[in-house]
Amino acid sequence: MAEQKSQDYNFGRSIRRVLFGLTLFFLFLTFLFWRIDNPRAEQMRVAILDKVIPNMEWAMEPITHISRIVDDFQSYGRIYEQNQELRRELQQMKAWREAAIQLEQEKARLLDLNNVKLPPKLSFISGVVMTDSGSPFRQSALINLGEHDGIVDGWAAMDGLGLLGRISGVGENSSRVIFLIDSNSRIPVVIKPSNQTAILSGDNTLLPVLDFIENPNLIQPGDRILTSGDGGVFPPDLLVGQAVLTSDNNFRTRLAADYKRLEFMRIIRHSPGLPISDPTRLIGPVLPFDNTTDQDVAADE
Amino acid sequence: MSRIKYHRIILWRLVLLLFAASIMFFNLIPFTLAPTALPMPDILFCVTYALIIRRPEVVPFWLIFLIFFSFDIFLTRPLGVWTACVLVSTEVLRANRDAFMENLFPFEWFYLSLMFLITLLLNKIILTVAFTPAPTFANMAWEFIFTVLPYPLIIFIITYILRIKKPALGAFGVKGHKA
Repeated sequence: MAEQKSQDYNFGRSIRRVLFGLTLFFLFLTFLFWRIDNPRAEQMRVAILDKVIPNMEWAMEPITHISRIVDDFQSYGRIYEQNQELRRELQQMKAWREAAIQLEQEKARLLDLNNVKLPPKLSFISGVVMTDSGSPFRQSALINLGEHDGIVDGWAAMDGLGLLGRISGVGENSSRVIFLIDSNSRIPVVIKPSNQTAILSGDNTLLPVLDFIENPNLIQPGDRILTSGDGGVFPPDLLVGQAVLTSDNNFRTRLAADYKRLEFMRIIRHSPGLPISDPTRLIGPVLPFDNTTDQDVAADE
Repeated sequence: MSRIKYHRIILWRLVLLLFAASIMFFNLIPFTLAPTALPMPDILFCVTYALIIRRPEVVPFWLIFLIFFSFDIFLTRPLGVWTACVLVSTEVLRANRDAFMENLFPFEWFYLSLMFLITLLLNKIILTVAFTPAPTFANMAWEFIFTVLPYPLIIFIITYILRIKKPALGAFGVKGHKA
């Protein structure tokens, strides 16, 4: 009887050992798959998150709210100073607004004189932040817009003022926004008065680095940084931030977007101009029906 | 008798799953989207270790796989690496469980910190070999400190509030074998 039992026990143990080995093997395969075919693996991850996260909203919402209330409550402590500060800022803003209106009018007059054709204005969709990445090594967020809302990989995300990041991974009802501060983010930018181009590369801090500046001598701390639109991923001239000089004489960017209190994002709809794909086309009158491709095929054969 | 015990094990498993889910919630809630300099403590690792030392039948390897793999998926980590590291290290612990039968807390604490360090290094090595961005040593050091420090507190909660204790010497397990 006892022998029988111990036999069962040993049998169970060897089964367990085999299963354990299989699990490790499965994990190894998943990692290989993730490493080799990263886009597809990430797509599967997005699909899973897309199924699960929107169903957890009801649980997350109250906790998020409570944390925000606590945050706001803390800010009551310095309400007087804040009020003073806001008044001062408002005063400055009024001066700027006056200047902006005057410039706007002048610009409109000049444009009218020159008969300039401007590119169409960018339209946007707003979304709510659902979750953050949950890891200190990755800076991203999940928003509640997805394929249903026409979101496309690579579109720019902004808060009211500055660029936040870009869409990377679109699910049906949710998509992931990789922030400029993520260590994987590289964005072509232009630094404004001097028109120097650079690459803005994130490194998990709030001040991403400006890499590959051609002539750093032409740049002053405080210069405005805009997207350059090179590569056709981002529309040009979105505000990114201001250049700051670090103590080791490198330029970094103080971002215009506020990551600390982010609830909503704007996703900028943007379709880059069509690439010129067919360079050897005869320019001539329009034929009754286009059968050039058929002829090409026949000629090839 | 054994049936009641088995029900209790399932109950503890459910509690563990709920606990893991709440930790995941806490990680995912967008408190602030600014980058934080310091990583979160890996409390789940501590709890898994404490439970394996006390009640290994509550945390079979497939449960560890389930919990940690879902963490990998949800927290945008490289798929499977951290899970595999944790599985291997918990298996090492399981094999050496007899050493913890006597109540020597400092030894247990030391062992946990050593194993966590090894697990972190294993993770780092695998990621580096595969040319994947891996956490820096500074980050690993912080994670190590934050994870190891609260261990006594976790043990206190598990032993005195949840009353999960090591089986007494000579007690028997569910299947009628020496625990």
